[in-house]
Amino acid sequence: MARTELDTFIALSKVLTGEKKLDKNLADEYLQRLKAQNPTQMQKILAEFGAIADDPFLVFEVKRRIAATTEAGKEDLPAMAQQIIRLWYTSEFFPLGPDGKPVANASSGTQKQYYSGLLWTVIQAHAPTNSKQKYGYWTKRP
Amino acid sequence: MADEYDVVVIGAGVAGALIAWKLADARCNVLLLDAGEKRLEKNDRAAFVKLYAEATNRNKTPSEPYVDADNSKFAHSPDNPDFALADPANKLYYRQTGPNIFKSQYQRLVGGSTWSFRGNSPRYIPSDFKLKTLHGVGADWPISYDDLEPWYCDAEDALGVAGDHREWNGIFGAYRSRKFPLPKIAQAYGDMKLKSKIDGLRIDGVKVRMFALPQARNSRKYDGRPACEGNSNCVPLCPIQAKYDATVHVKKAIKAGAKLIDRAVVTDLKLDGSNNIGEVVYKTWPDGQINSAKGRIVVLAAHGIEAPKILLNSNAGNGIANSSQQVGRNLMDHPGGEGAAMMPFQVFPFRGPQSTSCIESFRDHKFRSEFCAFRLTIGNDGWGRSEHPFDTLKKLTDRKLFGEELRKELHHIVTRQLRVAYSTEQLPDPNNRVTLADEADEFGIRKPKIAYKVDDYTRKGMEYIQKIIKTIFTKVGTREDEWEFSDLKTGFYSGSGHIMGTTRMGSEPQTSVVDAECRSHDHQNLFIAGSGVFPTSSCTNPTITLAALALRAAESVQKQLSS
Repeated sequence: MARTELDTFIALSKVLTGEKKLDKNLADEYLQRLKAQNPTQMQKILAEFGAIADDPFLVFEVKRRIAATTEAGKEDLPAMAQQIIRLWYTSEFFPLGPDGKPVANASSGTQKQYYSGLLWTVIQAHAPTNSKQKYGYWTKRP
Repeated sequence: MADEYDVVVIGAGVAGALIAWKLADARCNVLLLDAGEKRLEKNDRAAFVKLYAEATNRNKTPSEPYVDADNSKFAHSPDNPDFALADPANKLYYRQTGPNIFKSQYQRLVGGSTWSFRGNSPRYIPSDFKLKTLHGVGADWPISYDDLEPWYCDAEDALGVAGDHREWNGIFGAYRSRKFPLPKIAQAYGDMKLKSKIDGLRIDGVKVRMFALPQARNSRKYDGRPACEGNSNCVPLCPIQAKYDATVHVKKAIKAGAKLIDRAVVTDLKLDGSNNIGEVVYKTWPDGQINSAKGRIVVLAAHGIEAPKILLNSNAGNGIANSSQQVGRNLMDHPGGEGAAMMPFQVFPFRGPQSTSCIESFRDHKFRSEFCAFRLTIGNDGWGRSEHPFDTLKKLTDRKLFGEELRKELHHIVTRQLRVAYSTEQLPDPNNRVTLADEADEFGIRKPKIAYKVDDYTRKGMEYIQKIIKTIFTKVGTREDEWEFSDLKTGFYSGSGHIMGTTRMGSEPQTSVVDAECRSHDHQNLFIAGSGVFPTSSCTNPTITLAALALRAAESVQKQLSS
């Protein structure tokens, strides 16, 4: 069955973030945000990933062909990969400018997206204002 | 014709709210004015939380949750963009002339700066009130710790301060006649790991001890507000109001019969024939309508920049309450900074309040005639201003890390990040002052012009402080090549949001603005409340001290009304 663009984006995001489970609705929101800011680079990175998506050594291929590539004509792929990571981890990212480098001002997300940032679960905490725990939980290690 | 009241209180921050509440409760007819909006409902707080969550990390500043277009125009709350020297094209609110930049903000919103304060509530110590006598620098207060002690107890009850009586009773002679109303805020896991490594360490003959930080934050349900849930967002906003903010006492004042008018910027205090404040003139926004009110007594509680601004603007710009020429002078802050290190053990920041522990061991010391006293706060927010976790992430992605390797490295680094923040004492300097700029705001009111310098008394202290922190970090076993410290070679310091000194208290009318009861020396029916009345700064968060002074002043106002 042919992969949809969203499926491709989710599969790429799992490799880039190291997170095995990504919410599909959130992925769609993020895909639309990224495409709105950098449609050309997103098309390119999804196409590049689509070509290697079935490789049994996917992390290696993603590193060589996308995240750390030095191939001519693909200079913007690592920067785009980094913004995809930052978006999933923090709900904000820095769109790429005409020079292929991230611009100075971030694009921020919704409150729900901010709370969903992967960074907070990686450090075993929560986004500020989103505790949902009881008094004193902080006296023990997570 | 102006409405008439027993008391007109200008400013609904913690000082004004407490005074309005006390006097309304005593059946005085009270009008409470505030330049900012009234946002007192739960859905207001939720809206602030949403706005803040949706701001970019760079824009997550203390004023950010409260940003509103009209408020920015008519009752601007200074924030990071204002921390710059003014230039001709610059439209900033603060018109700063230097030589150093004043870096403290405040909130012009009903409830004032307690919306965004951390909630730290240690008392001043007896020597803070006698700096000139004991150390030959600064000034003495016209009151002592003993005079204020009962009011400290009342203020702690009013705000709901959580603390450890055993730790804090008698520290540097600051005895406590009453226990804290709430048990201490539970100390963070990481803090206790650090404490186990350093408690009792001797540096320059001083025994370093880590205490639980007294804070206006609920360790259990109190005064109808919930216990802290560790949302890690104390500055700039507690989403559940476990942290005290002055809307608590604004509501109590209203319930007791006080009238609140918000969006009311006071433009003039007119004198009557008896040299008293005859009329309080204010403009409401956004309509710009001019109104006035009369009070038998007027309490000016507009914080350390707006209060002198109002006084200097009054009387057709000639000023009032200023025979001492001290209005606006002696501006002080607690210039701060931090040292950050990677702990050799995990501390798991961003879980719980932004700080739960402190080191008070240097609140008074043998070098205080040469350099400042200081206190240290253990951060529970990673590397704080030195490096936010979003910046740590960027560093790792810049190295092209991704996937599982990125996760591991991010976890390894951030769960070990800890900072020790310092807060320094600043001496009163008459050249550090608030005057009126030529530029006016949208209401045609002249903006505050600020001249400010951080002198060697404080800067020399910062050098010493960083040595202390480095000694602590070394004892703990951190790596020097992983340290980050505020860069003193570039003269770096941060502002604390503690604005003091600009309407100082004193016994002598020639050298002070208000007397020991916060009554203006020049105008019998004018009281001034807030940290602007502090003659010296100590190194300690001013809120509980200004709250104690406010309650004491409320009693003086009440006595004066009755006499």
